[in-house]
Amino acid sequence: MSFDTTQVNGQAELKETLRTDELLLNMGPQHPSTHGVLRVVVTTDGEIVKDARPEIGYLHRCFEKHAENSEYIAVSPYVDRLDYLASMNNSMGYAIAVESLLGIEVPRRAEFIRVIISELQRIASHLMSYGTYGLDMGAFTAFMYGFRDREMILDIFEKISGARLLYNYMWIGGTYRDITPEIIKQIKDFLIYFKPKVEEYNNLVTYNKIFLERTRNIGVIDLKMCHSYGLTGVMLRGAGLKWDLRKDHPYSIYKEVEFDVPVGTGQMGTLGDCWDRHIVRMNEMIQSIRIIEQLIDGIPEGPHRAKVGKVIKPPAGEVYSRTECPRGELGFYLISDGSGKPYRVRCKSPCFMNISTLNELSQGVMVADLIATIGSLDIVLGEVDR
Amino acid sequence: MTFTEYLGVVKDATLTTFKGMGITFKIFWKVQSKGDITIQYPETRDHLPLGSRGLLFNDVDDCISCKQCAVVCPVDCIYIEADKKEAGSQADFTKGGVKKTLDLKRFEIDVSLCCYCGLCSTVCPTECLYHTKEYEYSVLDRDKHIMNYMDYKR
Amino acid sequence: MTFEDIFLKLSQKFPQAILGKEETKPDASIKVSPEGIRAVIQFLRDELQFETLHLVSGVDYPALPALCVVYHPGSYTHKIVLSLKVYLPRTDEAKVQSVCDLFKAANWHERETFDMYGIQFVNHPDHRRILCPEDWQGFPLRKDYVTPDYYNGMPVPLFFEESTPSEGGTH
Repeated sequence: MSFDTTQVNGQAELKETLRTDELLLNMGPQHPSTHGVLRVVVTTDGEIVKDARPEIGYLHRCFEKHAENSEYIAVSPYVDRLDYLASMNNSMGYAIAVESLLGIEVPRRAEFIRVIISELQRIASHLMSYGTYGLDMGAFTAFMYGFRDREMILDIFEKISGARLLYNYMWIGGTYRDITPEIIKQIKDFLIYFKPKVEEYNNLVTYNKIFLERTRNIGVIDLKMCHSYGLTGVMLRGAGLKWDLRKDHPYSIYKEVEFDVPVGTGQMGTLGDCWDRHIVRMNEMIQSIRIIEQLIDGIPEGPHRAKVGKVIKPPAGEVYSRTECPRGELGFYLISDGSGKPYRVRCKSPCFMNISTLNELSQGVMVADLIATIGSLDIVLGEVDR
Repeated sequence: MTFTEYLGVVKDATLTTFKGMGITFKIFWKVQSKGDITIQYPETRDHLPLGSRGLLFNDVDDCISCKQCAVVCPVDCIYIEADKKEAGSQADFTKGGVKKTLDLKRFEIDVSLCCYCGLCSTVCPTECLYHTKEYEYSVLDRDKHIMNYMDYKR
Repeated sequence: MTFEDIFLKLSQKFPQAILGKEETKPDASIKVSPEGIRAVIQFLRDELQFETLHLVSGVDYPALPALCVVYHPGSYTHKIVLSLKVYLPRTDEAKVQSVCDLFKAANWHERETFDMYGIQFVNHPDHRRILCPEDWQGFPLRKDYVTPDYYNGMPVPLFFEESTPSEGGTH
């Protein structure tokens, strides 16, 4: 807005001379900081954002329709590709849903291996989120260090399952292959190497004054907004509610391990801002290390997969089962009609709800804060679009 | 903000920046003393572990045409055609001693569709279909990705 | 509070809206009429401490014939997730009241149910497709859906000529 003074009857008067307009900016599907193919249609007044509307559907691969035409065991590779950065947790969620329909029990050795692998995958996913968030804020070094450590986890997974990113390892009734003593030694070496690294990463990025000023008091999600939008996982814990499905609705053998649930406290700004969510993710990595250390030495002997037969045919029924994934609660609503193919597979993805809050979070902030908010939501478009 | 607060901000910023730079220099000197950690591909290649899931290979002399792999494949990339053996023809056995009742006419895999899930190699009863460690097989024409395994029949 | 307690409380408060329960294993669900679903969800949110709505999805039952909308409200106080099913006629006029003003989570979930099944949500603020392109014809997740051959001049299926596999799966 620009003004000019004119003299009217000896008095100075302000008159608006420059016509301004709002800018319609398209942060298109191809953009380095949109974490995938996300399109955000932004209306700005200068530098201040008036409206930010996310448009999705660029990675829609019809997972639910494919699942209705494939057998239960052939749906597993499709489930891997939902949240491709935390693929072991997805497979485990689907396997637990089908096992509760079938009513079978998984052998103890398979449960131990499943929990160890899930927690390792959680560390890898949070390292990826830490690296890309640093990259969005301009800290390229954080990205490189995060990916170096993630490579070590991917090497372990390659030895176990044969693939680096999309494993198809958690099968219905257990796991695909057994674990060898060599792999156990490699996991122990990794834990010894990685334990001091989290504090180092906090000193490098989290407590750095520039990062702090860019993320505190930005993107505040309070508890009421969480409940209204159906947000779960790190969003809830960053807003102060101590809720973790591994403690409140335990599945697998999480009842037998001891760990804390980190929550945000509003230490550096408002409760529920971007910094709170970031520190919750860093603390969750420490708790995951604690869980693996309790389980790695006591893996019992036994089969690594229950006997389920060649063709899996659950009896007719419905189930809604949820598991705690790195990005929130992943839910599977399965309807079976007694045949070899599922009747309906509905996947409740946490990132779908996270990205729907963007319009409300970005009213009246600057464009750089919009990038900081999207980075703290930690979305993966494979899960949003399915 | 007041001048004291402003000085406090400057002090915080300098201290945290130096702390971060200290971590970076520590890792920099460690890499300098230990050497490069990047593998210079394609001059050197990494060793893939046992059981890596690369390109598929089928030893068609051992295949009994049960079609389990084609049925379980999530993306339907395996094309099999087999006929009943004519009466009076010579009996054929695999390496493991299993008698073949069908004559395999066509076994093709479209590797541009394959998703490397490992389901087909697990359900194969004679273990003639397995994953090799090959990962460098790009071609210029998409039709050349349809691998015909009958060419490798002895 | 268990599932049975909640079912008793709801049947007493809304005798016309609650049509019964389906005893499927392992999760049972409650059948609700299309006219009464909004009041039931508001009662669950205000009186019975069901703070959040996890999922709204659609199911197609061509055998009945019916289209079904399934709501999954969840409670952090009682640590339970309910399953409410609303059966609608399987025509182009399948309509149900939107619950967007009660729970903002329903906004995008209802858009996706409309996109995939064609169920209309009355009073929805932004009633358009979300995953498919804006001018897509047909509702993909219905059981009698046939993929169109061309979309704006581009071929839709992967193969047109006879190079489909001779055994296994669908194309």
